[in-house]
Amino acid sequence: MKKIILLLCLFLLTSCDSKELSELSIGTVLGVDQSKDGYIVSCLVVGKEENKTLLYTGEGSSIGSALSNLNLNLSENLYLDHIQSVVLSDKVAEKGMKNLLTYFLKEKTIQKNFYLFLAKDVKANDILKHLLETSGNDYNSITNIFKYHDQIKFSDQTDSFNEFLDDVLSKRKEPVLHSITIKEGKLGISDLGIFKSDKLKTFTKDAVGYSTLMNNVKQIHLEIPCSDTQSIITVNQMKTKTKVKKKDIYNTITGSIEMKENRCHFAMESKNDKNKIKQMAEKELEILLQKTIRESKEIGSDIFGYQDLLYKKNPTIISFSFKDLTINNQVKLSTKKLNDKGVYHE
Amino acid sequence: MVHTNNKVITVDKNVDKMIQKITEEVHYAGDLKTRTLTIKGHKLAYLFMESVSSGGTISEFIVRSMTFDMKQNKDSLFTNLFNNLENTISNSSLKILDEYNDISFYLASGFTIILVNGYQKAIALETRKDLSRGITESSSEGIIRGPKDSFTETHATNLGLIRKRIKDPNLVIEDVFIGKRTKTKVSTLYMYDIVDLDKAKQIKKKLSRIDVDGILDSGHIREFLVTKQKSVFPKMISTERPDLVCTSLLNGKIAILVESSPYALIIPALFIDFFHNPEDYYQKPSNVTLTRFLRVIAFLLTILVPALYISIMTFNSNILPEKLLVSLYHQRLSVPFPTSFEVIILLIVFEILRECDIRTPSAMGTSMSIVGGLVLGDAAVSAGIVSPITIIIVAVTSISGLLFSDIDMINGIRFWRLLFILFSTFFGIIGFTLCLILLVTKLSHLKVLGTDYLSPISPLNMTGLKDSIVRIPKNKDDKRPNYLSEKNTYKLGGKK
Repeated sequence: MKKIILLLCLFLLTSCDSKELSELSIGTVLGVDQSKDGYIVSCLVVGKEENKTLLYTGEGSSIGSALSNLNLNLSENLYLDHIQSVVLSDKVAEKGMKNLLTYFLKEKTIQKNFYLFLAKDVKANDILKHLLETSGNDYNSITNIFKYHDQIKFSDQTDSFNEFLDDVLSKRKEPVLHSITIKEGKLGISDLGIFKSDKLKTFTKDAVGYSTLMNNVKQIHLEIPCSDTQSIITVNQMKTKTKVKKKDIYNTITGSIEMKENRCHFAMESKNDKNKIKQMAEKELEILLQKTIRESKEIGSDIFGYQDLLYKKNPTIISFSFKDLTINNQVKLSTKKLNDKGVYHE
Repeated sequence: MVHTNNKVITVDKNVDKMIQKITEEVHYAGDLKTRTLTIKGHKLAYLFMESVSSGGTISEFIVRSMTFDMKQNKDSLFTNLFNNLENTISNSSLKILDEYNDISFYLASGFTIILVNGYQKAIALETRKDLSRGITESSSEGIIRGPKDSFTETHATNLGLIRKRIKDPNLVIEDVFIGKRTKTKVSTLYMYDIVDLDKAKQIKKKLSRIDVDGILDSGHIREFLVTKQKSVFPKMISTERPDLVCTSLLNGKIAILVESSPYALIIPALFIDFFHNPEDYYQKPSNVTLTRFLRVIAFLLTILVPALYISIMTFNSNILPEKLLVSLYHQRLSVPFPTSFEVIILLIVFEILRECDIRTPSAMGTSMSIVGGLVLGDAAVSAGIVSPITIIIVAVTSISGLLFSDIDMINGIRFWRLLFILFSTFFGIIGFTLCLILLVTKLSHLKVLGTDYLSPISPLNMTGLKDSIVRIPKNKDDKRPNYLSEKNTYKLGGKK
């Protein structure tokens, strides 16, 4: 009797739902565009021949119907459990993504750890077309652009679907998404999309500032202006510590300065010279951070999660506005590695 | 001497009648030779089986010593003849038989039976022909370093190979004769002051209960020694290596040697024993530990890999990395069969190949492996009947399985592999996990002569762990594990 119950359990648990690999069409990248009264879904599908990827599109009033329309063109069932990234056009994001997110969340056959990207000024379909032409079989091509960028770090914590959904649902943190675009026939990183709830509000050019404040970047490049040109300063070993004191936020940013291109011919011998450069760099960085904070304050969208921090520190505070929040940034850079060794002097 | 179900019949006084009776009893066997002599009025006869007796010994010694001075008193004739034989032929065993039933057994064992007219007794004189092959290298349990000798079909030689290694008087060798017709000698060996005597008693009891017409090999015995717990994994080791038998005896195990069988049985065999090899003790301990880890990995591979492959390919392909998935996807596209069918068919073909390889003469083996391995595998892939990855999976499975030398272990593994495949085919990774739980439960449930099959890992025994998967050097391994026997546990030093 026990054995029979055990076997029955197995049938109920597994539902004998076996699918041979060859009976599937494996989707790798999904693109979602806005149509007149619904969505246009495009999908890169692994081809039957080796090293060949195919692009399919489908239109429908909802994501589900668009996908099933797309499936009509395929000979096998579309398999989205291995989807790598989903590209959303900015139009879709501006209109609100409630339906879209609900669909992805509830569809059991889709793994929830894919990356979300915005397509800025282009259609998601165009990005997929571009991927098809250029990278062919490389399924990680979108994520790779970010992987090798030294300033804008994209990570599981900020860009995966799960995290995005958490931020959308959270009352004290607003989501952001990185965007990609096609410039002069090349795929590249574009501005950072700032959301309020599930709607895209604006794009900010200062994704670096955001990454810095989120302690998500190891190295940034700063431009220090002088009379007619500017020098490039690199700050390494970046670290940001955020603390909450009473009702204020204190950020301490540390790092070590290195001069990569000394176009302004700064002297770097005495302590005084170094201090001068340090002050300029600190000021430049502070301006950048203030700008990022100002932009998000303008929309009233707390993309940094400071409200969340405040709440965790002091749960009794019930309501306050992000706009009124005082955010102090203290930049402390070290000049240990700042020297003119090996620098060519005229 | 030999117990048969017939009632006791004494030897007849009349020599001619006796010869007639014996000839009839063996159904006029061609190799029974009889000879009647009359020496100075006394009628004598001798009988022997040509096939198992040495003709030279009989004619040279026996006949010569029988023609002794027969003038003596008729009453003491038999005793004198016996004494005379005993004095002249000193290196053969000599017996007086009173019971008629014993005669045919001694004849078949290579004895010459001497009958004297007028006496209700017979003399049995050992004139055994040497029918054995020499001591050769073990063919089934290969070894690089260590003793090369192996058991033969001769019982005395086999016992000698053990006695040669353990000269302790505490080595007990107890004989029983099993088989109504074959009357095979079966010896139970153990170290009196180490072994758990209860276990030895149990074994002897089981042996004495065997009531069968024939025992031809130790393999026949093991089926009578099985316990109530059914298991495909072997509970005894069968080996042709005397060094392994001796190591086991010294650890408190019991060995059974069967006449005319080159395989000794070692009881109890624990699960961990099948991951050991006699050669382990002839190499550096650290290296042996690594080898034993490899054996464990191979065990897991050979049991789990095909099932895991099937469940991933048909149920849980989402756990594969993208690049591997796409590669597997392309490989499978042209294959017309379901994955599980493909794997099962290939495994069956491999088992057929393996079975063929054991049975075919070595001269044909090469051509078979070319046709079977190279042609079949390569052609099947290029014909698109099986995918290359399945060939790789089956190859890994089969090669890992061949790491174990015990054929019963290999068969046990084969059974569980199939069970895993079935569970995975129908229930995917959940079925696979359930089957794994079943395997562990089954193994931990088993007991051999009161010892847990998974000792020393479960229940945990620190002394046993010193020589389980990790082997520590002999000079640090001071105690015998107490799950086999609690007597005399110190191996090192004089502590008792």
